[in-house]
Amino acid sequence: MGHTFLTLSTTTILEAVANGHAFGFDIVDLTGMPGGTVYPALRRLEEAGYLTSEWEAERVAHAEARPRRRYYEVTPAGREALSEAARRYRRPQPAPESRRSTPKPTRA
Amino acid sequence: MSLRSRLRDLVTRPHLRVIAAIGVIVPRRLRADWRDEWHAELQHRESRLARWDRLTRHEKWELFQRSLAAFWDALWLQRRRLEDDLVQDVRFGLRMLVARPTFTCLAVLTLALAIGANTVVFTFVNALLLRPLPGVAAPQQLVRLGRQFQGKPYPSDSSYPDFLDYRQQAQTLSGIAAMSPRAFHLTTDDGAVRVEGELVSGNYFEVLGVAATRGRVLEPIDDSAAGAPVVVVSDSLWRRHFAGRASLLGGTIRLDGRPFTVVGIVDGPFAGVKIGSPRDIWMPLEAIRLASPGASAPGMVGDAAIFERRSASWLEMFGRRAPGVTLAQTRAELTVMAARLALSYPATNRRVGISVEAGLGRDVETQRPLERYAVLPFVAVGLVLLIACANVAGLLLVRMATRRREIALRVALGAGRLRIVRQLLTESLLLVVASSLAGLAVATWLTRALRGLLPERLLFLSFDLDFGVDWRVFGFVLGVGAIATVLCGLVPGLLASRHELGTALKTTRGAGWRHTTALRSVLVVAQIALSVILLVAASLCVRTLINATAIETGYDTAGVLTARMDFARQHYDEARGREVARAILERLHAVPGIQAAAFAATLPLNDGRWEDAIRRDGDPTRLQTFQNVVTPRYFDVMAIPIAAGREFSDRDDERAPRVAIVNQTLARVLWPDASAIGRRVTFDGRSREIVGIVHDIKGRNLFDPPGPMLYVPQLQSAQPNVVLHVRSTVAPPALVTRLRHEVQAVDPYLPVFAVMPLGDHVTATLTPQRVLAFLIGGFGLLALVLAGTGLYGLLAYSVTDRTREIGVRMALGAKRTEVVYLFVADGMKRAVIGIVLGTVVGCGVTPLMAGLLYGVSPLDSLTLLVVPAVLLVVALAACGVPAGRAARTDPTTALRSD
Repeated sequence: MGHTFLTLSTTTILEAVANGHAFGFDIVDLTGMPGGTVYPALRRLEEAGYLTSEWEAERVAHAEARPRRRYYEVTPAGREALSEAARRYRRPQPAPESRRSTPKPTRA
Repeated sequence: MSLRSRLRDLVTRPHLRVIAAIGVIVPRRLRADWRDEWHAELQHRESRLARWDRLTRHEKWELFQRSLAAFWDALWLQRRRLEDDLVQDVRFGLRMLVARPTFTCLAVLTLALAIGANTVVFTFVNALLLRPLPGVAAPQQLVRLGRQFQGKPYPSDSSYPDFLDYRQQAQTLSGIAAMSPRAFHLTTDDGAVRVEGELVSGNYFEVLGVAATRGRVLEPIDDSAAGAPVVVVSDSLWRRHFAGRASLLGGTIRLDGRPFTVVGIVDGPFAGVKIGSPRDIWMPLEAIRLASPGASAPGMVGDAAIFERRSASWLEMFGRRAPGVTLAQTRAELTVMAARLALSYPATNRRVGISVEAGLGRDVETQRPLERYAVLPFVAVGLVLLIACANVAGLLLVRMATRRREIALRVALGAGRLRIVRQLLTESLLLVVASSLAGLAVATWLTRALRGLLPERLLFLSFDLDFGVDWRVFGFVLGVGAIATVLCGLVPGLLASRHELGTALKTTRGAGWRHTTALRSVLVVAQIALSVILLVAASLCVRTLINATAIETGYDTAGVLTARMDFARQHYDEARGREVARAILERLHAVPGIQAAAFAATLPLNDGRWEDAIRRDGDPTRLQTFQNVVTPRYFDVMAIPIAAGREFSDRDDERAPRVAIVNQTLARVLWPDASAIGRRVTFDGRSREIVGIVHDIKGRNLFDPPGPMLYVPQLQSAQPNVVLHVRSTVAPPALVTRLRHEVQAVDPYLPVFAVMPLGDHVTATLTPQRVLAFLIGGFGLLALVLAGTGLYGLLAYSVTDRTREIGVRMALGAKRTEVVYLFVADGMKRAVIGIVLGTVVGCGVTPLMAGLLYGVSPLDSLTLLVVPAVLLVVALAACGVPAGRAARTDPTTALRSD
């Protein structure tokens, strides 16, 4: 688990998780990014140790008659990386990475 | 959920089907979670939108699209599948190898020997044929240029006017340089030494892209009328003979007695443009003019007229291709130029084309025969690899038989066929990696051993080469390793994954594994057949060497030491040369232990370098004859018997009538019906009386019958470059010291070089035969051992496999001899098939190597009898041991085994 460089979209996703949007489709809705971006990003973040995930209890899902959900949570390392990345992306002079055509994060 | 609603779901909600479909490629371990997560995602989306029934078509389409995003997610997870599986495969493979050390050691040893043998052969080919000229910039751009006379197999050196024309006009080459190899007598702190050097054109270093480590390299100005007498020397020469003194740079050294200023020192790996013949001195071509005024020294290049003569062949030309130019373009351009030169100078260039060859440092003349000799070892070593792989594949098959339950279990637990194949390939890959490393070590050791078989040089081929491991050798090992991996691992892998494995869980022995045994039988038969072929080839090579060693040379090499001296470099005139030669011989004859000493122009077995046409007086027919110029007592030293007439004496000098001695062949050819004594022959424009006839010797080479030979007394034909022959009872080291001492007493600045026993010279000419016999013989033995162990392994396994059967048979009254017979017959059946097959195929292929043989037919009956016999004996031994063990089986224990 090294220092994974966070792109703008990954930062956005991490930030969404940090703000309590704990599962995949929630994040998809929030950020407006396609699932093909969000899910691999979540896996990457988890691999980097910035996120942990937990499956909700079977009976909860059963009671609500829907498939189990996987909840994501930010780790301390993730928070640190997030604040570092957030600082970087808020500078007046945007870093080259941020020029990519990614949708702007929208706050809930 | 009812089946009906599920079906309806599948039809009506395509996004769920998409997830199910994509899920297939997700690593199994992650698949369930992955599907859950995406189901949750899509269902959430669905519920947010509304009930499915009320969705608009557009919303349904969006949902479907979202489900496709799962594909990217699944794709991303592939990485993990590989990582996980690979690590798992490797870890499991290592565990399996460590758990069975005997198997692992045997397999690694087998493969290491085979890979090592392959690497040795390649290392030699690499050193002799592939490595580029060291120390120059971009050697792949360099091209050799030579004059190609019509009808000649090899290109010749060029003339100076041709060189200038090509250099001025060629557009496809960024530069053309010329060089003429030349030895010098260098005066050093402790006497004179002979050093090899090159006379070079002013742009030589520029074209090669070589810089000086100290001072500067030669430049065009040095090779012009304005140039001063300057040289560049090698770092090694500077250290060897001038103790690395800084004053050498800018100082003066004496070469052939003349002073030259050292302007630069170049360091290795660059050592001239001939691979294996390091050179120490580089002097501008123009120095020939400096060295020549009025010099009448015989045999010297130093004649300024050589610059003007378009017919003179003395320069090795080479060029550097301009960027983006192909060899074909260069060839096309220069061919046109050669044709133009032929039109402009028909007298000299009418039949002259140009040869353009890629690369620099080797001549085509030595390269072609080497390529011919390299084929057989490569084929042989390839066969060894095949045999070794068959052996290891056999071992793997045996081991798989013992592992069939484990594999069946893995299949039952859901491992796919691909997965099983990959696991087994991984295991053989691990084996091969270990073997390749061991093989490299084996190769390094073997290369060193083999180099001991090589003389320093053989005619014009030097063996002072770099036999190290470079990226080519490494790549070759990788390639061989890859082939070995596939050969060893694929067959067992494919077999293991067959569906009938599923039944292996239920059975204990036999069923479903019979074909393994059949396959192993095929492998063993193939191994035996291949080793028969190899052993036949090996036997032919060894017999060739034995025959060649037994060739009568016609002279006695024992106790004869030879050494060279070069009078031309000392600027002796003819009288001085005769005087020095006489004084040296006189002093040597006074040394106790020296029986006789003589000078000759050349050593025998020099591949026809000393041939010229002669004719019988009064008969215009010319006859190509081997010649030698010798002093009196030469025939004593060589122990060549005089058949008739007399030997040369000191009275046969320049004032006496011209005389000659012929060998029996020449006498017979010219005067078949009468004695040759008293007859006259003419060569070199002079008529000579034949005063003696000597016995034939092998002059040109060992393999051809002795041709016509003519000897001329040295006092009547001055030779600047001579070989001293000394027959003595003194041991060589002491003799060499004494010899140098006596020569220095005559001229302290006359170097003695190329000192070696005559026997070594004769032995060296058999180097190709010796190397082939050693290599192919070694490979043959290796193949024999491998085939033997292969057969042994098959039977040993068969005995273990059939323990219970043996028990039953013995319990029912079978005798021990019958059990032994059962297994021996089983094994020998395969051995005999292999031997017959190998012999038949061997007979078909050995005629291809006829060109490498001497005194033995490719279908040598002795070989064809002995090799199968040897294999039969080995096979019997390989069968006998396990069969014996089978016979000692205790029926009660055997019946209790599972």
